[in-house]
Amino acid sequence: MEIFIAQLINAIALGSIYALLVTGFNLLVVVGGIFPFAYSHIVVLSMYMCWFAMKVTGNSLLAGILAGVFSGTIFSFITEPIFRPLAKRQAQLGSFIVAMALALILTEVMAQKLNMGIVISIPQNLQGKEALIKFGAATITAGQIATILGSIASFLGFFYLLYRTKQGRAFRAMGQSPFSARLLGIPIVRTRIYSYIIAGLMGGISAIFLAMAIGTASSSH
Amino acid sequence: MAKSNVLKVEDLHVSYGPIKALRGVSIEVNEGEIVVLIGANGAGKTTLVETILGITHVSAGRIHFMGEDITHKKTEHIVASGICLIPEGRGILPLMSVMENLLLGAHHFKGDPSENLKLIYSLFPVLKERTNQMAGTLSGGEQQMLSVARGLMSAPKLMMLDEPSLGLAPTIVKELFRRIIDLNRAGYTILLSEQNARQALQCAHRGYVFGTGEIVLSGNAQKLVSSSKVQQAYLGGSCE
Repeated sequence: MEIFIAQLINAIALGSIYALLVTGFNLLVVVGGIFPFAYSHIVVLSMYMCWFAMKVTGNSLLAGILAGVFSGTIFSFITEPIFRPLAKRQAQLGSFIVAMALALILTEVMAQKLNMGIVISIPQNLQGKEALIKFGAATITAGQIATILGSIASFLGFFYLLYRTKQGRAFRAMGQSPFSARLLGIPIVRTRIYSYIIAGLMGGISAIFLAMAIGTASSSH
Repeated sequence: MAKSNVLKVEDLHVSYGPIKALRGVSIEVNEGEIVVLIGANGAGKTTLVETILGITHVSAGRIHFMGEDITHKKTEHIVASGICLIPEGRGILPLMSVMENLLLGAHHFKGDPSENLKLIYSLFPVLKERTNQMAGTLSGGEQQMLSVARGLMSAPKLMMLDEPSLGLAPTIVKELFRRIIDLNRAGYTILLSEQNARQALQCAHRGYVFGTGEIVLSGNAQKLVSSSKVQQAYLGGSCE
């Protein structure tokens, strides 16, 4: 029973990270109008940024978390102009190919240039391996608790945005019918840019939780 | 007293690649009028209303709205300035509730949308009953009401309706035209694009008859109703 509960908590923590990743990914598919092959690469790149920020600041947790989250947001944001003309023309095959190319480039950059291609090891203080709750032989770590609570908070924030705000309605309208959204005066380009920013933010948050859960990162992740 | 000019389209040319969809179209809509655009399918009515809204690129000519040149403005700016289009096929968002569809109509509305909602519920009480229902589950007539109501949420200075009667039962069409007249009496200026020429002209003040990409006849709606040329142009033939 103890092992089952420990495994269940672990599964919920990992599942929360994947759910966050899929949410950001889907936002780009539905609102951004692309198939974002490079999204997972941006997440891994954000893990590198988190690691790098901690390295230069003497393992500052705050610096690592901020670097991971902000770099995810910024990397996603700067890819938007690459896909904009393709999304405008609804060139799905074109965006498919460009996304694959971007993914390959990011993989190569991480494999060749970052930490000389060596797998990075996330500092212990971010991984949160210390047991917060113990029951018998099983433990629940601070990292798992932080991942579950952080994911829940992220989802609540995201769904509040999506279902309770004007911007969220605009996202959903774009997802259902870009033409109808345009007729209603929803700024198509600006809304797409916002979708990249929010997807990047979700990716950055996922990067932190992945860093906690896995403890390492490399171009092969 | 002469009514002020709301919309003025001058010598408008629009092309889709080598195809000239509009050739030198000029129309005017004055405050408080219902102006109807009639013509056969493919004559250029939808292209004209979509071009006014900034959806389609203008090759030549000018579009003025409330005295302001909107020829090359973006759709979001045109909608924000007070034009709404109720598109052919209704353009409702089927997986969103009636309320959400209505609130999307007020995307650019600066004031409190609840005041607009009160007006809409008084005009279309059925929408109040269906407020939390998914828009895609409404009947065709109700969806058309929702589409019109969503346009009204922005408190537009000009409402453009593109083929609103398309796909509706004759009794619903009759009701729809009655609502259009009610809206006009409530102060809305309306530009109506319709294939249902006779019925549209009966509710309009003035009309323009489209040939293929150009206006072949225009004038007082009552005179156009009795014109033998109208039927000819409506069927796609030349008036001259």
